[in-house]
Amino acid sequence: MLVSALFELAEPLRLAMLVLGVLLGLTIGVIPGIGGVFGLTVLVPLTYTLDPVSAFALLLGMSSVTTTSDTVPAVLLGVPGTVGAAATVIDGHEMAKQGRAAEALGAAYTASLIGGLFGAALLAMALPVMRPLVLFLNYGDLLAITIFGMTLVAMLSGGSQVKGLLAALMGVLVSLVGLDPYEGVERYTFGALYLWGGFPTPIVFLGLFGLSELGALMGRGKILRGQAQPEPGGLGRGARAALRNWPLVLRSSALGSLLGAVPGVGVMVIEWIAYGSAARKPGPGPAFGHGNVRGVIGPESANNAKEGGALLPTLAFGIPGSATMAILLGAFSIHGLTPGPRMLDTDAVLLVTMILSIALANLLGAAICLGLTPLLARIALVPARLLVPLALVFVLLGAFDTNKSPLDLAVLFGFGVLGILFKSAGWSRPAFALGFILGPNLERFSVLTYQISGWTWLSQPFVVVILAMTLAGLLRRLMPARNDMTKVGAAVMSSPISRDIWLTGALTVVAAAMVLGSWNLPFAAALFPRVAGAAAVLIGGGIWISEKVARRVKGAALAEGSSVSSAPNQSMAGRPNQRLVAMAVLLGALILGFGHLAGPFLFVLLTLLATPSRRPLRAVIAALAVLAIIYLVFDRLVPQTWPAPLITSLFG
Amino acid sequence: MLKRALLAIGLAVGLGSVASADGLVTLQVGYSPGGSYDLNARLVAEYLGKYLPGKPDVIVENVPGAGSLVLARQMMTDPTVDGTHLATISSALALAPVFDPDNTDFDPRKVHYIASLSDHASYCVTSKRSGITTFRQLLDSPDAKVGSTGRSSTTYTFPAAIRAALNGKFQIVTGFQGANEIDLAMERGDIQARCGIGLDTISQGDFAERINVVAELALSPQGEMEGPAFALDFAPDPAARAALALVFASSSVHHPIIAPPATPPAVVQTLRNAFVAVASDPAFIAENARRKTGIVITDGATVEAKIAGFLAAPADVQARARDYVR
Repeated sequence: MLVSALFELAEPLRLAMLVLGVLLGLTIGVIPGIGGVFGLTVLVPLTYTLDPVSAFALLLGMSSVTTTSDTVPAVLLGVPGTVGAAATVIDGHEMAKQGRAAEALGAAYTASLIGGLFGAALLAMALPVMRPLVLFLNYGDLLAITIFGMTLVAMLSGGSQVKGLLAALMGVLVSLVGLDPYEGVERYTFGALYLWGGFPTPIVFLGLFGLSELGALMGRGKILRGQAQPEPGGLGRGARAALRNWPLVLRSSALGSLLGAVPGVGVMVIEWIAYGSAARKPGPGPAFGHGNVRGVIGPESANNAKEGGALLPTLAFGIPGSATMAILLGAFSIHGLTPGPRMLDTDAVLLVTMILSIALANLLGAAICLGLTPLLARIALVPARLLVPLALVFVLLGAFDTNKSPLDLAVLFGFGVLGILFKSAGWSRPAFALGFILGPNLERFSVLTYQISGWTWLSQPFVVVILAMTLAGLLRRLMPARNDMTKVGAAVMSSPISRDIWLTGALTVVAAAMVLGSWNLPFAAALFPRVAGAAAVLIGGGIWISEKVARRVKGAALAEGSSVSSAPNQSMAGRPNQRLVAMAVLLGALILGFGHLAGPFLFVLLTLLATPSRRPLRAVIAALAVLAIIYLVFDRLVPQTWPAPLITSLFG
Repeated sequence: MLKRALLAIGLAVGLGSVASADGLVTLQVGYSPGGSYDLNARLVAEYLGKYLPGKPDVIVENVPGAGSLVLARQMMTDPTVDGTHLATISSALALAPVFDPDNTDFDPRKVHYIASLSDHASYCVTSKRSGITTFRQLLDSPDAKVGSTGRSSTTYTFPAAIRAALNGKFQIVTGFQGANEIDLAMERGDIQARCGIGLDTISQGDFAERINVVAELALSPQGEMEGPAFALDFAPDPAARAALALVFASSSVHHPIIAPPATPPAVVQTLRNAFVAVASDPAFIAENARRKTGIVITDGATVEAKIAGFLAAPADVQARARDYVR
């Protein structure tokens, strides 16, 4: 059967479709902000005209590899290529700063490849038992997994766990903006239609991680930090690191494919839980967040493994878990295929070609990325003054492409500033991200579990095991956490003084305002904001008071030193960030004013002409190249209507 | 230097104006790609351009959010007058003045209905493993749970109205993210039923083998399948029947296509004619059958007349219908 499936797939047109899908998937992955939905609009019309094997090769080819190439901007620039690469930024980009970009990419691709193959293999093995497997986890189990996921905040909090907890609670609160899942009432939308669906996750991540890392990049002047040089042989070292960490790769892959089989969980949840689980055992080398290769391997194996799992609900029941799978199901119905275990008898060869498509796409995607790595790794040597404007163009366009609304840019800037503040005050952005991703699931799964099984869910065997594990993990960390509370004062002394206290105060005020703002909401819609908000106010108030006390104790001794210690911080972190925000605002204004083609063209031209070296020819070539890429991707590949530039209303 | 900068700005302005004048017609979908609204819109878009003046390309864009209310509200204030901007939104919004009279975000009487793409009935189904095989049994089961995505969706309004009007004992579980989650929960045995499901979903794969179709929710029996009870026949009195019918009415103008309020009558007519022409295009008919999309195009004038009829229901019927879904 394997041989006949290979023959089926080996036809030139079908292979060409697979390659086309892979190339499209890699392109979508590498350009920040545009995700799988973008690719689907390209693929849908094609899918209906192809035979099933070709159609599935195309669809699966694309969806299998976006999470391979999205690592490139995540590692090199700190800008996640898709929402599925945000966790990879943390350690991957840190490695790039240390001259270990090739190592991070080598480890990421190898982990992605093994994860992808694992997902395909698991899919193959799961086919005979696919129905029970898909139904294995109910909402009670998912709630327990989500609670477990929330406790991973402890691993992601960096220096201070209480601040990490506050950051996570703020993430939860921000994620609750929009229509609530139970009553359908507006929560914290201020009447803005834009916020009904909540803050768009891709834009939040582009701001939180992308903009703040680009600001830091401006400050350093280049990707490499200080005297760091690219380490030779990194690619092989990264690949070997992934192989050496095979238990982590397999564990993360299993997690990815199992959770991938649950509609409504999503790649973001999978990635962050994989990252947090990897952080529980950091292994040798730097701490997590400081360039630990396991922080790249964990999430990268999980997000590629999910594709195998994601096929299961569609194959088992004909119930699609995502837009890609819905289109796949559409192709099924056109070709008269009936999903379900009977396919094992009637369409076994086709099933095998689907599994092979996933496996081959992963091989091809990893091979292409590995082949390009030596070239890509040299980006680390390009000066930031050239790199940042080009990266900004794609970050802003990717964000603007979401709703084509000026508010897309406002949200990007808002979370960009929050990311910059968090980063410069040493607060954990991953903890915020985890809260933001898991918040809605925590609420939805609680509401559903309570309606479906009341309190009996607590007696489900899987729930008992997961919650016991969670509790044990928490107890183990209780002592360090308590110490941590007393250490807060000492720790903040080394961080920029006023910024830290102000940030704590501001977050606490926001949380308090959200609690107060929930007064007129129906009970079911108000419950989560109130609980999360009250906890945030308590913790924030606690941190604020303890910092104040600690400062007062040491205040006299540091009275003179504090002004000295904050000054270098201003010049090191403050000004590049201000410059970055100014550049981003300028670019945003140009996009709105002159359109999505002319705006970026002008921006690249102006910023490159403003660099000290000022080489006009190079600036024009770069601007034209950017223009060509934007036109090909955003106008030719996916034709779409862009809002009329403001300047046309002046003349029209 | 200044000359160069001016040259660049001139070039850029030129590019900006070209990009905004490319003569496309955009059909926006208020839901994510891959759903039935999306697939229907994409199929029609392939054929629509042929019947519009200048034979423009018709592109499909997804603007998901709040069960298509986000797109519906955007259409209310859209200034386009030349018919180049169309949208497909929830059929339930046609009854917004009945169910949410204080809300003026979307007014079906202000936008122009160009066509509707489906007039199929809606159904209540139960899972085979639930042991519930008849509509009466579903009504009388206090332990039965019916799944729903949210209170504004027909997965909630239909069962809620049935429960209120027909004295049903079942529970409604809300908060599922999409219909696919409801179906999986039904397979798992977490819930037992779903109401507001279309024929296209029922006939997908071998789904029909695992469910009982217990009731048809429509204004008159459509005869699409043997077996299901006709829900309106269970109404205890004419007033309850009329109010329940008003709740189900939206299924007869399913998958509507609308144009912004500012569109002049002549342009509206041109657009409606184009949809009528698509309906009889042999290539479209063949493709509709091949893709099993089940599109039935109804002319916009008929759709608008139907909606006007629903909205002209007596005030007491409207008030009762409103109470049912509250």
